[in-house]
Amino acid sequence: MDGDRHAATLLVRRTEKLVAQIVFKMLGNHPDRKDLTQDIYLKTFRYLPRFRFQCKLSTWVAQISYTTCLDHLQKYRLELITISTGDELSLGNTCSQEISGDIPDASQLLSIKERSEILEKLSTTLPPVYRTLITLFHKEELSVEEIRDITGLPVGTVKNYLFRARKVLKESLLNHYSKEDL
Amino acid sequence: MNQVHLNEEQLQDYAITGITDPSVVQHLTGCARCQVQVKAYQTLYSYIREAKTPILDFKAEELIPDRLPAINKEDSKEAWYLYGFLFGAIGLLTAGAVVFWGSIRWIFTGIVPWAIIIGFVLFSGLLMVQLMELYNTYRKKLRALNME
Repeated sequence: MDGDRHAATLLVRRTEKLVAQIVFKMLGNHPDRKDLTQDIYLKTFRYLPRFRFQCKLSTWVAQISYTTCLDHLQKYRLELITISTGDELSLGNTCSQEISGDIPDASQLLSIKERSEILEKLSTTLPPVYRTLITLFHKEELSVEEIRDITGLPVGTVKNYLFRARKVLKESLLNHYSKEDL
Repeated sequence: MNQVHLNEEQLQDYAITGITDPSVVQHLTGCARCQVQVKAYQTLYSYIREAKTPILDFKAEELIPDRLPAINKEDSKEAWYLYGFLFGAIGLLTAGAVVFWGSIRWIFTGIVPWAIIIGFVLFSGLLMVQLMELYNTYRKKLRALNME
């Protein structure tokens, strides 16, 4: 890419959505977002000669994005993976238990914007790493192996984090709808 | 009906794939609580899928530095030198054999034809393997660059 701005522009265009997803999920509305994105692309261009075609280029850029965000969060000593899985999440094991709350069909009642807002609200209960994993798996439809490549976490850990994140979000969703009394 | 509720793993798997064993389906048809749980997961997945993709509030292209770092092309050059040398040597040998066939013919006298055929097949096979490896490496690189 020696001086080839066209190739660089193409690279940015093709990866910016994925980079944005990771930066937003990891940092939220942090004021350093722009600086961090610049840092991600600077690293990408600097280390491009080290890219050995062992994964997709987008996965490699995502890997740089994730580690850059992680370093940034660690600098501020923010909680990255601890999740509250207290008693409030435990459910009964037999059919005799009462059912609380009802959920309207996703396609009904609410607009996409409203659903996005609800999800945004629910996601605040999750630590950044969980938010990112959930988005990469369910929204970006990446495989567990691709997420492993991006995050450097073992496959088992990725699956475990996804499981826990889904459970927390599901409980929050049920609580949300029982409170909203829909 | 199995009175024990489905565990979280079964609920999540069923909500994602819709594939499960018959006992799970049988339980689900008769258990309103588990139906609510599955519906909650399905709703959650649809919310995530439909959520708006965040857009950077600045043009990422503007972040490209004026002077892009130079790429070290030594590795790829090395590979091309190797292949160039290999094919050049084969070409030279073939051309030499054609031009000086009259002078070098004696080398092959006394060698039975099938030995020459075996040698030729082995050589062609090795060349094919080498070319296939080159092609596979090229395909792998193209796949990696396909970022969509």
